[in-house]
Amino acid sequence: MLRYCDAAVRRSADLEARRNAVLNELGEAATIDAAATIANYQRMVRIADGTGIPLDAFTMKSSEPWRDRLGINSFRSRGNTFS
Amino acid sequence: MTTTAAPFTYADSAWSIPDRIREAHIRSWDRLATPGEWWSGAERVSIAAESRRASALVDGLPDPGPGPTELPEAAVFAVHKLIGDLPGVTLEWYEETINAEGMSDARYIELMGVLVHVWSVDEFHRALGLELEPLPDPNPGEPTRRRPEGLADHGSWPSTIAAEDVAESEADIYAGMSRAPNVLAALSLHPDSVRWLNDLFEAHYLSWEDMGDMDTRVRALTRPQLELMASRVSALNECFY
Repeated sequence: MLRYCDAAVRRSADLEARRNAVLNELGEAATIDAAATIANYQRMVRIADGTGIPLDAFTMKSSEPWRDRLGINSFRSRGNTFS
Repeated sequence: MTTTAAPFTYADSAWSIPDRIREAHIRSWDRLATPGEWWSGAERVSIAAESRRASALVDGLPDPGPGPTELPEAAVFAVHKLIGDLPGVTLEWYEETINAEGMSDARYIELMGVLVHVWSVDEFHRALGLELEPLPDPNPGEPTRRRPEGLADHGSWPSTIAAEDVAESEADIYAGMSRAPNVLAALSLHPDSVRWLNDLFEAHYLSWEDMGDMDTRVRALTRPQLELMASRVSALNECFY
């Protein structure tokens, strides 16, 4: 499923193969759910970063221990919260 | 290309698209074609067409062509920026955009409302290898140019409406929630975009009520599977929020 996400968002040539892998392993309904989830979050991230929503204080604090380890602090949209 | 034929039949599709998704896509095209508060129906369809041009540019595909009417230059640039260079969207760029000729904060938010929902419907199609639905013919009429009540600075770039400040005429946008999720509030300068978001969010993902229940399974995928995919898409887009 993660490889399917990667292929869809990155527009890679193996999208069909990744989709078929999900289809073969999890079935049609799960593949449609996966496509809909990708579509949903391709939208949500654009709303968040297109309107500069800052991270709330609670999530800011609770995510501190692992944000840097996962490379999230290097995202350019970090400036929406820290500027 | 636009059409007046019944949209989203999925008749030739190998996929059994659930009614909840198909019907939300039909409503999306109705919303797209209808004049908004700050853009005409033709301008809204042109924003959608420009989103497809931006996407084709990113994908190295042929230019599908412009929509039925010309858009301000800053609007065209905003569409391409939001599709093709999301991590490069900054407060400085936002302020420059809303102050450009033919733009305003309200026009930007409605543009975004059109753009992200059309993009989402298109992304669903691309993810399943489906042809994109032709854009609708625009409905006639003028934008109403009505700014909602209750707007204030709540931390994001545009002014937004807090749940406790929402006027009766817009009371439905937060569906009775005492605290509005930030992504909903972010579009509240254009309440119909919030309504569109609620509709498509529930069809593509979950209802806001289901979002609060981590245990009940309402989709073929489990909740952890859905959340993991959501996180992956967000990370690939370098979305800090």
